[in-house]
Amino acid sequence: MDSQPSTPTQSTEQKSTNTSKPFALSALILLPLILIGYFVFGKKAPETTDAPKTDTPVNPNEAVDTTDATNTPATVASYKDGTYTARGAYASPAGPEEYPVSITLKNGVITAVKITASSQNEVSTKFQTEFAKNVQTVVIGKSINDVKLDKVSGSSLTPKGFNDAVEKIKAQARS
Amino acid sequence: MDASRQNENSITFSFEAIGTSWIIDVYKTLSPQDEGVLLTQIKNRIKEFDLAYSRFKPDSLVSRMSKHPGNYKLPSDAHPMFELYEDMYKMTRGAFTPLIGNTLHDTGYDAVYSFRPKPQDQITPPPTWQEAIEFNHKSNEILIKKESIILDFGGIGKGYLIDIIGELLKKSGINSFLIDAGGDILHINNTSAAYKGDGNKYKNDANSSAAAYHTHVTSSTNHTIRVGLEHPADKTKVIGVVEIKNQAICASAGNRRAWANYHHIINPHTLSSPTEILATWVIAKTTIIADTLATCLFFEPAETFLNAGYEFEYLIIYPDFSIKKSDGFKAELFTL
Repeated sequence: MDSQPSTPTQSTEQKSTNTSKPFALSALILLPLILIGYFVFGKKAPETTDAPKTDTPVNPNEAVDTTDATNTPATVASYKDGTYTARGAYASPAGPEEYPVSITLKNGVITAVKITASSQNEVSTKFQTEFAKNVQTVVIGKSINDVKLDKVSGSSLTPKGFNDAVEKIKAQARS
Repeated sequence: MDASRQNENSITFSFEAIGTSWIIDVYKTLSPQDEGVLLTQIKNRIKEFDLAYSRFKPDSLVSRMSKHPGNYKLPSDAHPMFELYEDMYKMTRGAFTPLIGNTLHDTGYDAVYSFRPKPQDQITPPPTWQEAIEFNHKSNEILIKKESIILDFGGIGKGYLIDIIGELLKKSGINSFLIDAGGDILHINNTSAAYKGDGNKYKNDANSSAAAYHTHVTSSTNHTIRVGLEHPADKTKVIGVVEIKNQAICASAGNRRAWANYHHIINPHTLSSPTEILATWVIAKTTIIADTLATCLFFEPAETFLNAGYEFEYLIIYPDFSIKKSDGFKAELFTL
Protein backbone atom coordinates (compact mmCIF):
# COMPACT_ATOMS: atom_id res chain seq x y z
CA MET A 1 0.00 0.00 0.00
CA ASP A 2 2.79 2.37 0.84
CA SER A 3 4.18 1.95 -2.61
CA GLN A 4 0.87 2.95 -4.18
CA PRO A 5 0.31 6.65 -3.78
CA SER A 6 -2.82 6.38 -5.87
CA THR A 7 -4.64 4.34 -3.24
CA PRO A 8 -5.48 7.31 -1.03
CA THR A 9 -6.82 9.16 -4.04
CA GLN A 10 -9.26 6.40 -4.71
CA SER A 11 -10.27 6.34 -1.09
CA THR A 12 -10.95 10.03 -1.29
CA GLU A 13 -13.31 9.58 -4.16
CA GLN A 14 -15.20 6.97 -2.19
CA LYS A 15 -16.39 9.68 0.10
CA SER A 16 -18.72 10.69 -2.66
CA THR A 17 -20.91 7.73 -1.76
CA ASN A 18 -21.39 9.17 1.68
CA THR A 19 -24.69 10.95 2.01
CA SER A 20 -24.45 12.16 5.58
CA LYS A 21 -24.56 15.72 6.81
CA PRO A 22 -22.52 18.41 5.10
CA PHE A 23 -19.06 18.93 6.48
CA ALA A 24 -19.05 15.62 8.35
CA LEU A 25 -15.74 15.14 6.71
CA SER A 26 -13.40 14.30 9.50
CA ALA A 27 -13.34 10.52 9.34
CA LEU A 28 -13.54 10.45 5.57
CA ILE A 29 -10.69 12.79 5.03
CA LEU A 30 -8.59 11.37 7.82
CA LEU A 31 -8.90 7.88 6.38
CA PRO A 32 -6.92 8.62 3.21
CA LEU A 33 -4.50 10.68 5.25
CA ILE A 34 -3.85 7.67 7.44
CA LEU A 35 -3.69 5.40 4.43
CA ILE A 36 -1.05 7.53 2.82
CA GLY A 37 1.15 6.25 5.57
CA TYR A 38 3.28 7.35 8.46
CA PHE A 39 1.32 10.51 8.80
CA VAL A 40 2.01 12.42 11.95
CA PHE A 41 -0.57 14.95 12.94
CA GLY A 42 2.01 17.06 14.73
CA LYS A 43 1.52 19.17 17.79
CA LYS A 44 -1.86 20.47 18.76
CA ALA A 45 -0.74 24.07 18.88
CA PRO A 46 -2.24 25.90 15.92
CA GLU A 47 0.26 27.31 13.48
CA THR A 48 -1.96 30.06 12.30
CA THR A 49 0.83 31.82 10.50
CA ASP A 50 1.06 28.91 8.11
CA ALA A 51 -2.38 29.43 6.64
CA PRO A 52 -3.32 27.43 3.56
CA LYS A 53 -3.42 29.16 0.20
CA THR A 54 -7.19 29.06 0.04
CA ASP A 55 -9.27 32.01 -1.11
CA THR A 56 -10.29 32.73 2.46
CA PRO A 57 -7.23 33.10 4.66
CA VAL A 58 -7.58 31.75 8.15
CA ASN A 59 -8.29 34.45 10.64
CA PRO A 60 -5.71 34.20 13.42
CA ASN A 61 -8.19 35.60 15.94
CA GLU A 62 -10.58 32.81 15.22
CA ALA A 63 -8.04 30.25 16.29
CA VAL A 64 -7.89 31.53 19.84
CA ASP A 65 -11.55 32.50 20.13
CA THR A 66 -12.47 31.29 23.61
CA THR A 67 -16.18 31.65 22.96
CA ASP A 68 -15.95 28.98 20.34
CA ALA A 69 -13.93 26.77 22.59
CA THR A 70 -16.48 26.84 25.39
CA ASN A 71 -19.29 25.97 23.02
CA THR A 72 -17.46 23.00 21.67
CA PRO A 73 -18.54 19.63 23.05
CA ALA A 74 -16.17 18.24 25.68
CA THR A 75 -15.13 15.31 23.53
CA VAL A 76 -13.59 17.50 20.88
CA ALA A 77 -12.63 20.42 23.07
CA SER A 78 -9.02 19.28 23.10
CA TYR A 79 -8.76 20.44 19.47
CA LYS A 80 -8.73 24.17 19.30
CA ASP A 81 -9.98 25.99 16.24
CA GLY A 82 -7.24 26.90 13.85
CA THR A 83 -5.00 25.65 11.10
CA TYR A 84 -2.62 22.81 11.81
CA THR A 85 0.23 21.83 9.58
CA ALA A 86 2.30 18.70 9.38
CA ARG A 87 4.27 16.72 6.86
CA GLY A 88 2.93 13.53 5.38
CA ALA A 89 5.34 10.85 4.33
CA TYR A 90 5.17 7.63 2.40
CA ALA A 91 7.47 5.30 0.52
CA SER A 92 7.16 5.36 -3.24
CA PRO A 93 8.93 3.00 -5.65
CA ALA A 94 11.33 5.86 -6.32
CA GLY A 95 12.09 6.31 -2.62
CA PRO A 96 10.62 8.18 0.35
CA GLU A 97 8.30 11.08 -0.43
CA GLU A 98 7.01 13.93 1.71
CA TYR A 99 4.39 16.60 1.31
CA PRO A 100 3.00 19.37 3.56
CA VAL A 101 -0.55 19.02 4.84
CA SER A 102 -2.59 21.67 6.57
CA ILE A 103 -5.96 21.13 8.19
CA THR A 104 -8.34 23.79 9.40
CA LEU A 105 -10.53 22.91 12.36
CA LYS A 106 -13.61 24.69 13.51
CA ASN A 107 -15.75 23.42 16.37
CA GLY A 108 -14.00 20.09 16.14
CA VAL A 109 -14.84 19.66 12.46
CA ILE A 110 -12.35 19.81 9.64
CA THR A 111 -13.40 22.64 7.38
CA ALA A 112 -10.45 22.67 5.00
CA VAL A 113 -7.61 20.42 4.03
CA LYS A 114 -4.68 21.62 1.99
CA ILE A 115 -2.13 19.29 0.56
CA THR A 116 0.76 20.55 -1.52
CA ALA A 117 2.52 18.40 -4.03
CA SER A 118 6.22 18.76 -3.30
CA SER A 119 7.96 15.82 -4.90
CA GLN A 120 10.98 16.15 -7.19
CA ASN A 121 9.83 13.01 -8.95
CA GLU A 122 7.55 13.58 -11.92
CA VAL A 123 5.35 10.55 -11.33
CA SER A 124 5.02 11.30 -7.63
CA THR A 125 4.13 14.91 -8.35
CA LYS A 126 1.35 13.72 -10.63
CA PHE A 127 -0.09 11.43 -7.97
CA GLN A 128 0.28 14.03 -5.23
CA THR A 129 -1.35 16.73 -7.33
CA GLU A 130 -4.24 14.44 -8.18
CA PHE A 131 -4.67 13.51 -4.52
CA ALA A 132 -4.39 17.09 -3.33
CA LYS A 133 -6.89 18.31 -5.88
CA ASN A 134 -9.53 15.89 -4.74
CA VAL A 135 -9.41 16.41 -0.99
CA GLN A 136 -9.05 20.10 -0.59
CA THR A 137 -12.14 21.84 -1.84
CA VAL A 138 -15.44 22.20 -0.06
CA VAL A 139 -17.65 24.79 -1.66
CA ILE A 140 -19.94 27.29 0.02
CA GLY A 141 -22.57 29.65 -1.33
CA LYS A 142 -22.32 33.36 -1.98
CA SER A 143 -25.40 35.48 -2.52
CA ILE A 144 -26.17 36.02 -6.19
CA ASN A 145 -26.38 39.75 -5.46
CA ASP A 146 -22.77 39.84 -4.34
CA VAL A 147 -21.33 38.30 -7.48
CA LYS A 148 -21.12 39.90 -10.90
CA LEU A 149 -22.88 37.53 -13.27
CA ASP A 150 -24.36 37.46 -16.76
CA LYS A 151 -26.25 34.21 -16.21
CA VAL A 152 -26.91 31.52 -13.63
CA SER A 153 -26.69 27.87 -14.51
CA GLY A 154 -28.80 25.76 -12.23
CA SER A 155 -30.47 22.43 -12.35
CA SER A 156 -32.98 23.66 -14.88
CA LEU A 157 -35.12 26.54 -13.78
CA THR A 158 -38.20 24.64 -12.85
CA PRO A 159 -41.42 25.61 -14.57
CA LYS A 160 -43.92 27.31 -12.34
CA GLY A 161 -46.57 24.65 -12.94
CA PHE A 162 -44.24 21.99 -11.64
CA ASN A 163 -43.52 23.78 -8.38
CA ASP A 164 -47.15 24.72 -7.83
CA ALA A 165 -48.19 21.10 -8.22
CA VAL A 166 -45.55 19.87 -5.81
CA GLU A 167 -46.53 22.49 -3.23
CA LYS A 168 -50.19 21.51 -3.53
CA ILE A 169 -49.40 17.88 -2.87
CA LYS A 170 -47.23 18.74 0.11
CA ALA A 171 -50.11 20.78 1.55
CA GLN A 172 -52.52 17.90 1.02
CA ALA A 173 -50.13 15.50 2.66
CA ARG A 174 -50.00 17.69 5.76
CA SER A 175 -53.77 18.12 6.11
CA MET B 1 -43.51 40.98 -23.66
CA ASP B 2 -41.73 38.74 -26.11
CA ALA B 3 -39.07 41.02 -27.50
CA SER B 4 -37.27 43.88 -25.86
CA ARG B 5 -34.43 46.12 -26.92
CA GLN B 6 -31.70 46.49 -24.36
CA ASN B 7 -29.98 48.96 -26.63
CA GLU B 8 -29.87 49.72 -30.34
CA ASN B 9 -27.73 46.74 -31.17
CA SER B 10 -29.21 43.84 -29.33
CA ILE B 11 -32.61 42.30 -28.88
CA THR B 12 -33.82 39.95 -26.20
CA PHE B 13 -36.59 37.47 -26.85
CA SER B 14 -38.16 35.95 -23.77
CA PHE B 15 -40.98 33.46 -23.67
CA GLU B 16 -42.14 30.21 -22.07
CA ALA B 17 -41.92 26.95 -24.02
CA ILE B 18 -41.48 23.23 -23.31
CA GLY B 19 -42.10 23.94 -19.64
CA THR B 20 -39.25 26.37 -19.17
CA SER B 21 -38.26 30.01 -19.64
CA TRP B 22 -36.31 30.97 -22.74
CA ILE B 23 -34.20 34.08 -22.91
CA ILE B 24 -32.47 34.64 -26.23
CA ASP B 25 -30.11 37.58 -26.64
CA VAL B 26 -29.45 38.40 -30.27
CA TYR B 27 -26.55 40.78 -30.84
CA LYS B 28 -27.71 42.25 -34.09
CA THR B 29 -29.79 45.12 -35.30
CA LEU B 30 -33.02 43.85 -36.79
CA SER B 31 -35.91 45.71 -38.28
CA PRO B 32 -39.17 45.27 -36.36
CA GLN B 33 -40.44 43.09 -39.21
CA ASP B 34 -37.37 40.85 -39.17
CA GLU B 35 -37.63 40.65 -35.43
CA GLY B 36 -41.20 39.41 -35.64
CA VAL B 37 -40.37 36.90 -38.37
CA LEU B 38 -37.43 35.55 -36.40
CA LEU B 39 -39.39 35.13 -33.18
CA THR B 40 -42.15 33.32 -35.04
CA GLN B 41 -39.59 31.02 -36.66
CA ILE B 42 -38.04 30.23 -33.28
CA LYS B 43 -41.36 29.50 -31.65
CA ASN B 44 -42.58 27.37 -34.55
CA ARG B 45 -39.39 25.32 -34.50
CA ILE B 46 -39.78 24.67 -30.76
CA LYS B 47 -43.44 23.74 -31.29
CA GLU B 48 -42.48 21.32 -34.04
CA PHE B 49 -39.93 19.64 -31.78
CA ASP B 50 -42.38 19.45 -28.90
CA LEU B 51 -45.08 17.98 -31.10
CA ALA B 52 -42.77 15.16 -32.09
CA TYR B 53 -40.99 14.31 -28.86
CA SER B 54 -43.05 15.44 -25.87
CA ARG B 55 -44.62 12.70 -23.79
CA PHE B 56 -46.86 15.35 -22.22
CA LYS B 57 -48.66 16.27 -25.45
CA PRO B 58 -51.54 13.83 -26.15
CA ASP B 59 -51.22 14.38 -29.91
CA SER B 60 -47.42 14.10 -30.09
CA LEU B 61 -45.65 11.44 -32.09
CA VAL B 62 -44.35 9.94 -28.85
CA SER B 63 -47.89 9.74 -27.43
CA ARG B 64 -49.15 8.09 -30.62
CA MET B 65 -46.32 5.57 -30.48
CA SER B 66 -47.25 4.71 -26.89
CA LYS B 67 -50.73 3.71 -28.05
CA HIS B 68 -49.85 1.64 -31.09
CA PRO B 69 -46.67 -0.40 -31.51
CA GLY B 70 -45.24 -0.52 -35.01
CA ASN B 71 -42.87 1.20 -37.37
CA TYR B 72 -42.69 5.00 -37.35
CA LYS B 73 -40.86 7.40 -39.62
CA LEU B 74 -39.11 9.98 -37.44
CA PRO B 75 -38.43 13.63 -38.23
CA SER B 76 -35.04 14.24 -39.83
CA ASP B 77 -33.71 15.76 -36.60
CA ALA B 78 -34.13 12.47 -34.73
CA HIS B 79 -30.89 10.93 -35.87
CA PRO B 80 -28.32 12.76 -33.71
CA MET B 81 -30.53 12.27 -30.68
CA PHE B 82 -30.95 8.52 -31.13
CA GLU B 83 -27.30 8.05 -31.93
CA LEU B 84 -26.33 9.74 -28.67
CA TYR B 85 -28.97 7.85 -26.68
CA GLU B 86 -27.68 4.55 -28.04
CA ASP B 87 -24.11 5.42 -27.14
CA MET B 88 -24.96 6.65 -23.64
CA TYR B 89 -27.24 3.69 -23.03
CA LYS B 90 -24.27 1.41 -23.57
CA MET B 91 -21.83 3.51 -21.58
CA THR B 92 -24.14 3.87 -18.57
CA ARG B 93 -25.10 0.20 -18.78
CA GLY B 94 -28.72 1.00 -19.46
CA ALA B 95 -29.14 3.71 -16.82
CA PHE B 96 -29.50 6.58 -19.30
CA THR B 97 -32.40 5.52 -21.48
CA PRO B 98 -35.30 7.03 -23.42
CA LEU B 99 -37.34 4.08 -22.12
CA ILE B 100 -37.55 5.68 -18.67
CA GLY B 101 -40.87 7.27 -19.68
CA ASN B 102 -43.12 4.65 -18.07
CA THR B 103 -41.08 4.71 -14.89
CA LEU B 104 -41.25 8.50 -14.60
CA HIS B 105 -44.98 8.27 -15.24
CA ASP B 106 -45.41 5.71 -12.42
CA THR B 107 -43.51 7.89 -9.96
CA GLY B 108 -45.99 10.67 -10.66
CA TYR B 109 -44.03 12.79 -13.15
CA ASP B 110 -46.80 12.70 -15.72
CA ALA B 111 -48.60 15.00 -18.12
CA VAL B 112 -50.80 16.49 -15.39
CA TYR B 113 -47.95 16.75 -12.86
CA SER B 114 -49.82 14.49 -10.43
CA PHE B 115 -46.65 13.66 -8.43
CA ARG B 116 -48.38 10.81 -6.66
CA PRO B 117 -45.94 7.93 -6.88
CA LYS B 118 -47.21 4.39 -7.01
CA PRO B 119 -45.82 2.16 -4.23
CA GLN B 120 -42.21 1.27 -4.93
CA ASP B 121 -43.03 -2.35 -5.84
CA GLN B 122 -45.52 -1.23 -8.48
CA ILE B 123 -43.17 1.07 -10.33
CA THR B 124 -42.40 -0.23 -13.79
CA PRO B 125 -38.72 -0.69 -14.50
CA PRO B 126 -37.88 0.40 -18.03
CA PRO B 127 -37.66 -2.36 -20.63
CA THR B 128 -34.32 -2.96 -22.29
CA TRP B 129 -33.56 -1.20 -25.56
CA GLN B 130 -33.43 -4.54 -27.36
CA GLU B 131 -36.83 -5.74 -26.20
CA ALA B 132 -38.63 -2.43 -26.70
CA ILE B 133 -37.30 -0.51 -29.69
CA GLU B 134 -35.11 -0.64 -32.74
CA PHE B 135 -33.79 2.47 -34.44
CA ASN B 136 -32.88 2.20 -38.08
CA HIS B 137 -30.09 4.67 -38.80
CA LYS B 138 -30.49 4.43 -42.57
CA SER B 139 -34.22 4.89 -42.89
CA ASN B 140 -34.59 7.07 -39.78
CA GLU B 141 -37.41 4.83 -38.61
CA ILE B 142 -38.16 3.46 -35.20
CA LEU B 143 -39.80 0.12 -34.53
CA ILE B 144 -41.84 0.05 -31.33
CA LYS B 145 -41.95 -3.59 -30.38
CA LYS B 146 -44.29 -3.51 -27.38
CA GLU B 147 -47.53 -1.97 -26.17
CA SER B 148 -47.49 1.16 -24.01
CA ILE B 149 -43.90 2.23 -24.49
CA ILE B 150 -43.65 5.86 -23.38
CA LEU B 151 -40.44 7.33 -24.74
CA ASP B 152 -38.89 10.17 -22.76
CA PHE B 153 -36.34 12.44 -24.41
CA GLY B 154 -35.85 14.57 -21.31
CA GLY B 155 -32.21 13.60 -20.95
CA ILE B 156 -31.18 15.06 -24.30
CA GLY B 157 -34.13 16.93 -25.73
CA LYS B 158 -33.69 20.39 -24.26
CA GLY B 159 -29.98 20.62 -24.94
CA TYR B 160 -30.52 19.41 -28.47
CA LEU B 161 -33.33 21.90 -29.05
CA ILE B 162 -31.07 24.75 -27.90
CA ASP B 163 -28.53 23.70 -30.55
CA ILE B 164 -31.29 23.52 -33.15
CA ILE B 165 -32.41 27.07 -32.33
CA GLY B 166 -28.76 28.15 -32.45
CA GLU B 167 -28.49 26.76 -35.98
CA LEU B 168 -31.70 28.55 -36.93
CA LEU B 169 -30.20 31.83 -35.73
CA LYS B 170 -26.99 31.23 -37.67
CA LYS B 171 -28.97 30.51 -40.83
CA SER B 172 -30.74 33.84 -40.29
CA GLY B 173 -27.35 35.54 -40.43
CA ILE B 174 -26.95 35.98 -36.69
CA ASN B 175 -23.41 35.18 -35.63
CA SER B 176 -23.53 36.28 -32.03
CA PHE B 177 -26.14 35.22 -29.56
CA LEU B 178 -26.79 33.80 -26.11
CA ILE B 179 -29.55 31.24 -25.55
CA ASP B 180 -30.65 30.49 -22.00
CA ALA B 181 -33.36 27.88 -21.61
CA GLY B 182 -33.96 27.47 -17.90
CA GLY B 183 -30.29 27.70 -16.97
CA ASP B 184 -28.96 25.58 -19.83
CA ILE B 185 -26.91 28.03 -21.83
CA LEU B 186 -25.34 28.30 -25.28
CA HIS B 187 -23.07 31.19 -26.16
CA ILE B 188 -21.99 31.76 -29.75
CA ASN B 189 -19.80 34.62 -30.87
CA ASN B 190 -18.49 34.26 -34.39
CA THR B 191 -18.24 37.95 -35.09
CA SER B 192 -14.48 38.05 -35.33
CA ALA B 193 -14.64 35.38 -38.03
CA ALA B 194 -16.86 37.66 -40.09
CA TYR B 195 -14.04 40.17 -40.29
CA LYS B 196 -11.44 37.71 -41.42
CA GLY B 197 -9.60 38.57 -44.58
CA ASP B 198 -11.60 41.62 -45.54
CA GLY B 199 -11.28 44.60 -43.31
CA ASN B 200 -13.14 46.80 -45.77
CA LYS B 201 -16.15 44.59 -46.11
CA TYR B 202 -18.47 46.73 -44.05
CA LYS B 203 -16.99 50.07 -45.04
CA ASN B 204 -18.31 49.57 -48.55
CA ASP B 205 -21.69 48.60 -47.25
CA ALA B 206 -24.27 51.11 -48.46
CA ASN B 207 -26.06 50.63 -45.18
CA SER B 208 -23.96 52.55 -42.72
CA SER B 209 -25.94 51.39 -39.72
CA ALA B 210 -24.95 47.82 -40.54
CA ALA B 211 -21.30 48.85 -40.36
CA ALA B 212 -21.89 50.52 -37.02
CA TYR B 213 -23.63 47.42 -35.76
CA HIS B 214 -20.76 45.10 -36.56
CA THR B 215 -18.28 47.35 -34.83
CA HIS B 216 -20.47 47.35 -31.78
CA VAL B 217 -20.88 43.59 -31.66
CA THR B 218 -17.18 43.01 -31.93
CA SER B 219 -16.39 45.31 -29.10
CA SER B 220 -19.28 44.40 -26.83
CA THR B 221 -19.54 40.64 -27.23
CA ASN B 222 -15.96 39.69 -27.78
CA HIS B 223 -15.72 38.90 -24.11
CA THR B 224 -16.76 35.86 -22.18
CA ILE B 225 -20.05 35.27 -20.42
CA ARG B 226 -19.85 34.97 -16.64
CA VAL B 227 -22.06 32.12 -15.49
CA GLY B 228 -22.89 31.62 -11.83
CA LEU B 229 -23.10 28.04 -10.58
CA GLU B 230 -26.30 27.79 -8.61
CA HIS B 231 -25.97 26.47 -5.06
CA PRO B 232 -27.64 23.03 -5.02
CA ALA B 233 -29.50 23.79 -1.80
CA ASP B 234 -30.16 27.52 -2.11
CA LYS B 235 -31.11 29.15 -5.37
CA THR B 236 -30.33 32.63 -4.04
CA LYS B 237 -26.68 31.63 -3.89
CA VAL B 238 -23.96 30.52 -6.22
CA ILE B 239 -20.98 28.34 -5.32
CA GLY B 240 -18.76 29.75 -8.02
CA VAL B 241 -18.45 31.47 -11.37
CA VAL B 242 -17.24 30.07 -14.65
CA GLU B 243 -16.64 31.96 -17.87
CA ILE B 244 -17.74 30.53 -21.18
CA LYS B 245 -17.17 31.64 -24.75
CA ASN B 246 -18.43 29.81 -27.82
CA GLN B 247 -19.51 27.03 -25.50
CA ALA B 248 -22.52 25.50 -23.84
CA ILE B 249 -22.99 24.90 -20.14
CA CYS B 250 -25.67 22.68 -18.63
CA ALA B 251 -26.43 21.65 -15.08
CA SER B 252 -28.24 18.79 -13.49
CA ALA B 253 -29.24 18.49 -9.85
CA GLY B 254 -31.62 16.75 -7.58
CA ASN B 255 -32.86 19.83 -5.76
CA ARG B 256 -35.17 21.11 -8.47
CA ARG B 257 -37.88 19.18 -10.28
CA ALA B 258 -38.12 17.13 -7.12
CA TRP B 259 -41.18 15.51 -5.59
CA ALA B 260 -41.88 12.85 -2.92
CA ASN B 261 -38.70 10.77 -2.74
CA TYR B 262 -37.83 11.42 -6.34
CA HIS B 263 -36.20 13.98 -8.58
CA HIS B 264 -36.08 14.10 -12.36
CA ILE B 265 -33.27 11.58 -12.63
CA ILE B 266 -34.25 8.02 -11.83
CA ASN B 267 -31.87 5.09 -11.94
CA PRO B 268 -33.66 2.26 -13.74
CA HIS B 269 -31.67 -0.34 -11.83
CA THR B 270 -32.62 0.89 -8.36
CA LEU B 271 -35.86 2.67 -9.35
CA SER B 272 -34.81 5.54 -7.13
CA SER B 273 -33.24 8.94 -7.67
CA PRO B 274 -29.48 9.04 -7.16
CA THR B 275 -28.42 10.79 -3.94
CA GLU B 276 -24.67 10.24 -4.17
CA ILE B 277 -24.30 13.44 -6.18
CA LEU B 278 -25.93 16.80 -5.48
CA ALA B 279 -25.27 18.55 -8.74
CA THR B 280 -23.23 18.45 -11.92
CA TRP B 281 -22.16 21.01 -14.52
CA VAL B 282 -20.79 20.22 -17.93
CA ILE B 283 -19.21 22.60 -20.44
CA ALA B 284 -18.96 21.42 -24.04
CA LYS B 285 -18.96 22.73 -27.60
CA THR B 286 -22.60 21.80 -28.07
CA THR B 287 -25.56 21.95 -25.73
CA ILE B 288 -26.68 18.43 -26.64
CA ILE B 289 -23.43 17.03 -25.24
CA ALA B 290 -23.40 19.29 -22.18
CA ASP B 291 -27.01 18.47 -21.29
CA THR B 292 -26.63 14.73 -21.82
CA LEU B 293 -23.40 14.37 -19.89
CA ALA B 294 -24.66 16.49 -16.97
CA THR B 295 -27.20 13.71 -16.39
CA CYS B 296 -24.94 10.80 -17.30
CA LEU B 297 -22.40 11.86 -14.64
CA PHE B 298 -25.01 10.78 -12.07
CA PHE B 299 -24.56 7.23 -13.35
CA GLU B 300 -20.94 6.79 -14.40
CA PRO B 301 -17.60 8.47 -13.64
CA ALA B 302 -16.51 11.17 -16.07
CA GLU B 303 -13.56 9.04 -17.16
CA THR B 304 -15.97 6.63 -18.86
CA PHE B 305 -17.04 9.32 -21.30
CA LEU B 306 -13.65 11.04 -21.59
CA ASN B 307 -12.02 7.73 -22.48
CA ALA B 308 -14.68 7.21 -25.14
CA GLY B 309 -13.58 10.44 -26.80
CA TYR B 310 -16.22 12.89 -25.60
CA GLU B 311 -14.77 16.35 -25.10
CA PHE B 312 -16.10 18.24 -22.10
CA GLU B 313 -15.21 19.84 -18.78
CA TYR B 314 -17.14 19.05 -15.63
CA LEU B 315 -17.77 19.87 -12.00
CA ILE B 316 -19.51 17.55 -9.54
CA ILE B 317 -20.75 18.47 -6.05
CA TYR B 318 -21.20 15.70 -3.52
CA PRO B 319 -23.60 15.76 -0.53
CA ASP B 320 -20.83 16.97 1.81
CA PHE B 321 -20.23 19.84 -0.64
CA SER B 322 -16.87 18.53 -1.61
CA ILE B 323 -16.21 18.65 -5.32
CA LYS B 324 -14.54 16.87 -8.17
CA LYS B 325 -13.76 18.65 -11.39
CA SER B 326 -11.73 18.40 -14.54
CA ASP B 327 -8.60 20.54 -14.86
CA GLY B 328 -10.15 22.50 -17.69
CA PHE B 329 -13.22 23.53 -15.70
CA LYS B 330 -11.79 26.95 -14.95
CA ALA B 331 -14.17 28.15 -12.31
CA GLU B 332 -13.70 30.60 -9.51
CA LEU B 333 -15.10 28.53 -6.63
CA PHE B 334 -16.20 29.89 -3.29
CA THR B 335 -14.60 27.75 -0.62
CA LEU B 336 -14.29 27.66 3.12
